[in-house]
Amino acid sequence: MPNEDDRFGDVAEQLKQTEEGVDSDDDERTDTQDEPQSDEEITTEDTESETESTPEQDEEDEDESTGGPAFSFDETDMHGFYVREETWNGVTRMRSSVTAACSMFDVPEFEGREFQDACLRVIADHGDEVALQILRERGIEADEERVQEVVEMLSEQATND
Amino acid sequence: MSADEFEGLPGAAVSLLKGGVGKSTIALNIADRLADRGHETVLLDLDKDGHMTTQLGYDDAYDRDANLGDALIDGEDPEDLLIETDFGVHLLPSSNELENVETRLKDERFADVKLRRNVVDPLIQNGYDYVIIDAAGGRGKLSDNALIAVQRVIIPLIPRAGSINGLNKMIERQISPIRENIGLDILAVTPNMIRETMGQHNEHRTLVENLNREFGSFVPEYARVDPEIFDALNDSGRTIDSIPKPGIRERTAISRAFKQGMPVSEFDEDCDQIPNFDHLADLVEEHSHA
Repeated sequence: MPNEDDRFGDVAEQLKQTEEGVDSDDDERTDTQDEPQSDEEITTEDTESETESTPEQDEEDEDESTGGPAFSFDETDMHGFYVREETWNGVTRMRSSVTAACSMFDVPEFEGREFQDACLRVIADHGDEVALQILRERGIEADEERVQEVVEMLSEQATND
Repeated sequence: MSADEFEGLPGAAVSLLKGGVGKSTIALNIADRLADRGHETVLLDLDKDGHMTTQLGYDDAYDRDANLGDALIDGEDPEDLLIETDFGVHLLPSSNELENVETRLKDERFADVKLRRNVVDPLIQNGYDYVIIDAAGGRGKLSDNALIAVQRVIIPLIPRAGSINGLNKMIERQISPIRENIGLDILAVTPNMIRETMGQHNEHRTLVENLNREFGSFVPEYARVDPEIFDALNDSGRTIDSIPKPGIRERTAISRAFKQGMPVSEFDEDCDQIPNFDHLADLVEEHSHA
């Protein structure tokens, strides 16, 4: 049957990119949870890195209502993460509420890179909590104030250097 | 990109790019049969004219401020839009705003999957079992969204010149491209409002005969006639034991029930066409959980 036009050419891509928070048997990531690969990136949109770099996709980034993402795909690099499944599920759940919150301010959709970059910026400012989490996981009850002091002092030094 | 990668959400769209073929009646009666089996069933009226919504007596809902766009585009909970009918089906009504909603939809990112992501999927996640969509007549984003959400379609045709032509156009312009990209099942192409037997040459027979000869695998059991029978009917030297009466037959009970805002089973539980709607409901059940 001839295909009259390519109106539906990107429907599969749309479905993939909006798959967040939807239970799906074909979520490619579940296959890699047990044995994380070194190039595993903190994203559930495995296809995005391929598609976003195309000129066509970059044009789509120009979202008229909000001006689109704050930075282009070209400005980003891929970094790997090893995380447990329960941790990953927590991030996925959190992403749903972030989506809802952003929707209230006329940003119904955002790119994977925006989410990932925001996550890491937030984490970068909370080194004390990261340290406490690592210690907690090892069963060590640390003095929170002391951890905070040390992390803040060293972060300040690093910023000034 | 494999078309098998995606599976439609539980339910079906009743669709044809033409109006006046009984889409709403069939959608209503399939939803009723599913509800009768204890399934929580949502009937989603995507027709901009709100034919079904108003026929069922919900004119106020058609004119109210809250409408499908709230969920579809603004991401609000679609469950808030549901109306509980007297016959156990949950209606998500049409609205006089649907024309504007369709216009707004064109400017949205992910415009083809909005109905799936923001309406149908949240309903299924919230425990509804099936969504039956009375799809919009005519080509447009809403009609596309209906097929992409459930990836299953039931197509009614009536005995009228150009019916098969309309079916071919829909397959070529909408069904095939969607099927190639993500997969789409035609559950049934059903002759509807059939009045005549197959003994005479008229539009009723032409429709059923052409469907059986050209689209045999899509014709539901109750409309299936072996082309051999038509060959015999054309041969004056052969006799046929019984002349078949295929298709969803025209019954006053079906149209009266619809005019009074109810499925035929509520109006006349003995109507002989109810088993045909049950068969379509069977197809929805089987294919949604294949």
